[in-house]
Amino acid sequence: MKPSIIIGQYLPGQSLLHRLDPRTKLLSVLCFVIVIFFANNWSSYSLLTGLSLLAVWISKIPLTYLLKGMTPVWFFVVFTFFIQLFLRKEGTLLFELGFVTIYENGIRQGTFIALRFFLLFLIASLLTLTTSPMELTDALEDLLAPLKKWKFPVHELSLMMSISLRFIPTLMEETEKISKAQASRGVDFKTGKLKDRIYAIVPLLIPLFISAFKRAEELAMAMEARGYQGGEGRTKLRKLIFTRLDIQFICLYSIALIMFFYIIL
Amino acid sequence: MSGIEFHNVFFQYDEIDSWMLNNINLKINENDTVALIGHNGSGKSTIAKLMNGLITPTSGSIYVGGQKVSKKNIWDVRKSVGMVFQNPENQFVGTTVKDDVAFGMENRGVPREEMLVRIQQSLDVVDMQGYDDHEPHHLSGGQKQRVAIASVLAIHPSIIVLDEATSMLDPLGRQKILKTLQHLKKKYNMTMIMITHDLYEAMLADRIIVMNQGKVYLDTSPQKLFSYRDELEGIGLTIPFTVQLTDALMTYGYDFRYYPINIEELIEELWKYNSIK
Amino acid sequence: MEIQFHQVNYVYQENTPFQYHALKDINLTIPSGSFTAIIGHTGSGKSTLLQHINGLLLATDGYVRIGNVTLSRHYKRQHIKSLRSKIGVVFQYPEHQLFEETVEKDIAFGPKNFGLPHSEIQERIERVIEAVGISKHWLNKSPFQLSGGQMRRVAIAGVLAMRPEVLVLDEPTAGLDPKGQDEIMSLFYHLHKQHKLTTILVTHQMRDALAYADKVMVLNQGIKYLEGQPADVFQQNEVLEKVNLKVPESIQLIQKLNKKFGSNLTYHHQSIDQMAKEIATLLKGYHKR
Repeated sequence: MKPSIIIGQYLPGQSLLHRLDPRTKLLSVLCFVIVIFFANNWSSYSLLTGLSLLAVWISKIPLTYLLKGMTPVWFFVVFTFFIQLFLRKEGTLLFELGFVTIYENGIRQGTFIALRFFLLFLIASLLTLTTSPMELTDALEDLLAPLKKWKFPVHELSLMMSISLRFIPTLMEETEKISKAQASRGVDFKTGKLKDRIYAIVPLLIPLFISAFKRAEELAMAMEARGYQGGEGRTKLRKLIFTRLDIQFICLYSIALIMFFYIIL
Repeated sequence: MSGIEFHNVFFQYDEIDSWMLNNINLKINENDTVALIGHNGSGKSTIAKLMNGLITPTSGSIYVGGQKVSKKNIWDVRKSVGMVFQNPENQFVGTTVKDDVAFGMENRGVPREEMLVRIQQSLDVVDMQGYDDHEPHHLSGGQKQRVAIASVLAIHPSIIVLDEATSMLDPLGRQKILKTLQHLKKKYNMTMIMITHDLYEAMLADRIIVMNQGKVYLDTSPQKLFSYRDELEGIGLTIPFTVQLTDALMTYGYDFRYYPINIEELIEELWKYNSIK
Repeated sequence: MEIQFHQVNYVYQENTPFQYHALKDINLTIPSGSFTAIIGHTGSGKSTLLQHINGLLLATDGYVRIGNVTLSRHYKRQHIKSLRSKIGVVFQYPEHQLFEETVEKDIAFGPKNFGLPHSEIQERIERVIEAVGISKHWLNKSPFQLSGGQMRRVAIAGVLAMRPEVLVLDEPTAGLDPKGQDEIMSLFYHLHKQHKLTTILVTHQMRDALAYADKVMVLNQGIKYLEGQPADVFQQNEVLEKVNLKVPESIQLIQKLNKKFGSNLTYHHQSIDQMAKEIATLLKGYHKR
């Protein structure tokens, strides 16, 4: 199997992290993303790394699985590290060979930025691994609800998202099916010149589009038959519930953030 | 009042096309189970879509529950006519079973508490209890179709239309659906319209309407259907094995009053026949 | 071409939490020129098995021999194209693979990919549309203007134009009306007889397996459950019912008749008329007794 990115995948489970309200998780991740850009020294990075690893631990998802799932990302992490390493020309000179020079700040900045990159991916993966896409959609709809006042189509947006999510596995299956059918007719998706490989996508894309349009048409008809007339007067089955667990989590998270700002300021 | 009437209904998709429906007059009584059969393109699915206003007739009128279907009452009509379509994949809106069953109720503003009750009830009817949180891609086609039936039932319609609901299923899935429909027919007062090209399935109905080239070709009962064997074969329908065998037996001197609809009945008839002689 | 499966196992997404063992220790020999039916429910591993025949999937463990090619997880992909040119696969709902502007181009797509010269392709197209019953007037039409049943014929023509030695059919009649189903099946059967095509049919229709196959294999949860000649396999009601499969009606009738009348009619691929004659004769004798 090809290594695939795990960000975006959902791994059902019963861990504390799985059971948190998706709104709590979404906002916490958002906070984390902002906060990580304020980190500026070894101790603040250590704290954030520690927090992330703690989160992995409570999620009960094996760290090795996470790291393996990030294989395609590693390249960028290493790449950013080396870019910083060679281009930063500040601080003490540590090493020199011909035109290659490495300064103390290069190592420092390289590590920081690579680490920042890595942690962002780790946390984002963790969010999607422990939260079903539907929960995320619900959280988003709920958090965006105030925007309805300004005629922002919150309901339509969330319905669109949930239908897309619903059809992702269907379309993936279809893609695989059609690509296999065309491979059996002699299309080579995997080897050959770049130009040939781009041409090879046409027999895959056209059937996919045609079937997606057909699905959309049928789905629209089915929705209409089932009385869908837009968001007005609609009730909702899905309901998010904020529990004690969320309150506890938020308290601890806030304490950690306060510590963080104490360190950097 | 939940019968359906078609008065001089004509329909074409496009002006240059020929008539999909050519002067249809039809009266389906309340609580009847009716099978509409015909080969692909005979116009049977067009009838289904007309019944709840998904398309409007080119000319003529349609009455549902005594009310003429028009732009004004279309949403009321849809409330009383539930539809199950052919492709299980393309009518599953929700991300999980319970979300999908809830979809129609959400559209009609059913309160959440009521929804929870009705979800359980309708999943029970189709024998899908316990599947509430399953995602569609983990269900078989037959299971998805049962969920589709459940979501129709949850809105308490008086008419249910099944538009080739079993044609994409494997035999096991099809069997289960037919069982569910039998159960529905027995237990609930509901007008049921089954659109199919499967003659076995049609045997479930009290009345059979055969469509051909946009017209009502035959309007008969399951018992009498196979006396029109040549006509049925002529429009591309396959005659069930028992009927073919019964016909063959007749050429060897056997005489049957009715066509037995399954193997057991055929053997029973043979048994009786032999003991009378 | 002969096809052999040796201890074939296939695991989807190995070493992930989604791991799924789809085929377990499959051994199977499909003689050259035979017609084999593979029966099983959705999820029994039928489709996975089929995909091993033209290297769309390579066995996680064990190997598959097709003619003189051995496919295993160590197989080098360079040669796969020449293998695929000999194996025609008609997938479920094959009309979904159509994409060209015209019917003609779509039929030519496979042969063109396998590097056949233009003149040869033209000749094949003419032959193949006759075989599947496509009118010449369709050749310049867009395949998307045709009806579902017609599109399926075009897709099948596209596979046949490759002139495969092995024909793999994955529920080729799904979703067609009864008349269309019969036409498509007799089309394949005719081709099988005429060109001695090794044919592998995956189906839910027991009567098709009974009518056309020399050999039937029943798959259940990735394991070979039953194998043998159709008339024998379909005698085993209880064994089949355990995996929710039904015996074809013609055999069911004979069994039930024998039970009721204590007779011993057998199924030997007789026509319905012949069966009626046998029943009539039997019952006459029965009455005299």
